[in-house]
Amino acid sequence: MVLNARRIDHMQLILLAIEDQTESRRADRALRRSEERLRRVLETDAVGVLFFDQTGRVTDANEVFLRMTGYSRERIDAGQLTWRDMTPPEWVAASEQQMDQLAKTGRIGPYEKDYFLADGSRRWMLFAGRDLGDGAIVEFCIDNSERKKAEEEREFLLGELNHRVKNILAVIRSLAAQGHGGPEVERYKAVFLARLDALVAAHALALESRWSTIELAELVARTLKPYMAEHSEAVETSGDPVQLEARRALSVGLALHELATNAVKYGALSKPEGRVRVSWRLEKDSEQRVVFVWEERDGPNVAPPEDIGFGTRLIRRVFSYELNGDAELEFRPEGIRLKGWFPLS
Amino acid sequence: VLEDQFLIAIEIEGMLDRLGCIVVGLVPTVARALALLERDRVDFAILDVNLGRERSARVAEELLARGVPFALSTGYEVQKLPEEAFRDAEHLGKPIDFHRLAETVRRLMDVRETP
Repeated sequence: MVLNARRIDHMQLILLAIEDQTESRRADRALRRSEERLRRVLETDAVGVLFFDQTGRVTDANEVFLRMTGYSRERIDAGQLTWRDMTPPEWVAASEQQMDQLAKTGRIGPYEKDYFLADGSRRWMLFAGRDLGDGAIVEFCIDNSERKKAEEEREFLLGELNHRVKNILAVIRSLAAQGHGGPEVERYKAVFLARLDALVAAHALALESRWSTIELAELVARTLKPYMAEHSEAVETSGDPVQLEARRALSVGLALHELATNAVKYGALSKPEGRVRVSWRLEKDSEQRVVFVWEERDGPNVAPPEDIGFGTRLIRRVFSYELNGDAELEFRPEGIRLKGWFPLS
Repeated sequence: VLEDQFLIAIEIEGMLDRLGCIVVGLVPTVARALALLERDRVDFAILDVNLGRERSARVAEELLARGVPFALSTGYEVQKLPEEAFRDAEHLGKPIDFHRLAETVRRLMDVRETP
């Protein structure tokens, strides 16, 4: 409370003014507290804070930024530091794009770039900022060089893994191809190498996808490629876009290859007028499932085989065992028909 | 035999066949493995560790609880597996080393025959 009293003699009065300052004092204190809090926020370890003007000149920075980068407060106070000084040439375009975005939306980032420190060395920084509405721009930055380094190492290891997988497949292929034997051996060799090549093709797709997902149409095209040179007219493929997990795509590739070799040896692709239709669709009920159909016609007359070969067994088991689905194989007189289905994920 | 890749599973099946074992089941998932344990008598199990979407530790725990011996066939280094259930587990290599498998099976048979 502030009291103010005044005697007015001629009226025999004392005028008393009482002002309740509780509110304004409280507001003052709150403001000071809030400023103190903000100041502390701006000095959080590892988070650099920069203030820019519209020309890109740094007008202020917190201590963390100065420590992180080695730039001096004197240089900033002298108006001799701009974002361009700190941006390596190859990152200027990306930074200008951020400035355009700032002009349009009032926001910068979050984005990452390589950044020059005062001593000329470079660090990866993550930036995010905004227009403060009074012509100034604030930007926060975090040094994420360590994470970048870890990412690069992971990239390197993934590349190394891909290289080794391809190498071991090449070594196996060479081992299998060595030496010559009688017709039985040569026949076996051809079958084995074709299977291995299908595996190699599917692996190449998996590696390209970085072991994420593979488009089914692409898998079908690549797996059937060795047969397409001679039978491009005879094979028709179509289906919904389906992204298969790489691991599951390897299984599907294996089944596809067995279907194709069987067709060439005994089925529709063993006769010039024979046709194969490969189709698939994505069905949705409680879960998404892929329905895959391989249908042959106009080939030699088909009768159910007396004993099921390894390839046929493999085709079915790929669906039931590896893909958690199932398959039906029909030996119809006009050609075989395989219908396989499996949950997408 | 718990192994998510059919081709690998049938190769292990073939090896066990040659050793005179009766393979009661090839299973690709934890759920099917547990169902098999409920359904059949199992004297010995071979487990892959990484089944694609899941790992086989839950099955190893169940086998330990039932006192059924098992061995691993995995591409991982067994000492580095984090799961408690895999500690002290025998490793047959991947691809499986047939001689090591034969030795393991013989040892288990001996234990069984001389109570």
